[in-house]
Amino acid sequence: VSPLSPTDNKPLFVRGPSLGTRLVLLVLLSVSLMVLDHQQNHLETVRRALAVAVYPIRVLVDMPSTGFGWLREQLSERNRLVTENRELRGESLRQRARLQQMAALDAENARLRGLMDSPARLANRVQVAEILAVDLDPYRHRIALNRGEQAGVYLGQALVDAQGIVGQVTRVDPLGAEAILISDPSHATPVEINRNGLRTVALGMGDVSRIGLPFLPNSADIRVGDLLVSSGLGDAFPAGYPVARVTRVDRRPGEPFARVEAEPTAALNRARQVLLIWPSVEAGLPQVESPAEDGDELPQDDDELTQEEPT
Amino acid sequence: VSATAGPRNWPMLLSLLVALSLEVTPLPGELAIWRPPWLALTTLYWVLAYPRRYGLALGWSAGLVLDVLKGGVLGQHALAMTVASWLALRFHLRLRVFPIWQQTVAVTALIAVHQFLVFWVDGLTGEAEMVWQRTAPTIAAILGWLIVVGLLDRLRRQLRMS
Repeated sequence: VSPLSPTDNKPLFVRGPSLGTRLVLLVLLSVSLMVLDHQQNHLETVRRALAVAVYPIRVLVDMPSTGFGWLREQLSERNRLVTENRELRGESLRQRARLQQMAALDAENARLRGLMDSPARLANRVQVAEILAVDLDPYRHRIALNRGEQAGVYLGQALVDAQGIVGQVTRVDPLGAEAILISDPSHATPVEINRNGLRTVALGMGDVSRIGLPFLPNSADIRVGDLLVSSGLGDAFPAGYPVARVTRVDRRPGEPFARVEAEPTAALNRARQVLLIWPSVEAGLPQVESPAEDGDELPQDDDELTQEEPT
Repeated sequence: VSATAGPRNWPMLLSLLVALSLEVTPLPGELAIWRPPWLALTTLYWVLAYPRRYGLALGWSAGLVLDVLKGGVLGQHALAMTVASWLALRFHLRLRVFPIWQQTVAVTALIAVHQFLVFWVDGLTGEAEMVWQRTAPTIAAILGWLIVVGLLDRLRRQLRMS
């Protein structure tokens, strides 16, 4: 700080509390904030007010990458767009064909479940949310979303992308939300092996390309390539969504548990959009603009079924 | 009398806003750990430039906003910034007359304290392991301080802020 301002030196006689007193006061204030916030989440109102204030910063920071995307759309050639459009239409046709079968299977499933007197599976409502291009903390796997309380997002809500489960919402602000990825070391995902229904828990390892399954005994029936799907236990994630594919199974005779690692199927660090899942349809929620919702081939009778279900 | 009129506040607020944005701007992969603590550096600059006007309260509030922006524990950065601002105020008479290289070393030491407090709270509230990457922001602060001083000194000269 080169140009000295002689008029702005420390005054000879300090008015108000001394520097040391102010330091102690502010440090105590910070510590009590941390205790209140970390242990009991008492400060929701404070945080929500501040979160609304800082949301524009997140949007501002996100703007360049959104802008580049927009610019690329504007500048891309017509025939490239036509090709892309054709490809997407073909894909949509294939998906619809598969959905037709799905409708029949769904009906059959409902009938069989009816025969067995077990409750019908609930239809899921989804909404697309954008991941803001904001780096929160390189040591924690968190993402910022552009949908918040106004869109009906709630605490603990599951996030998926086209390939699998991404994570769950940890904080909801009026305008935005924050979510934890399944690869965060403090996150555990209840999973089952799709092949044989063996249930276990997958823990994040702080690496977006690996999650660990530390609680499988050496004798467990698990192989490299097995698909892990969410088991629906713990009520955090809806059952049946893919989570990861097993990449490594080390059976260690001296140890009680095998070392098993899997690679998440979702594009955890590449996705730009995620789907928020509502387990059942609630009345009064804003209508969805996601393309996944307008599938008119889907049997919508599930919606009526779930209408009276409590959340 | 410039001491009573004091400097205008908007350059400070604007620079803090830019620093806040830089704190969360996405950086490609490996570079993310080398992000200099922009907000701490900018706050320290203003505290050193106008020690009577800006002090612990500025550091504390800037830290609190950063906590919310980064989604961390409320009070984490507020605590670290308060302590760093206090050290800056404590030694501001010496720090201000240092030549720039010596000043950079001293500010880097303040940032090291700041980073240690952030890391310490991380460890208390969750899992954090001491890896060498944790020292990267402190090292990056050397370059960051030179940039902050260069830009803000020029800004102040242009605005004729005393």
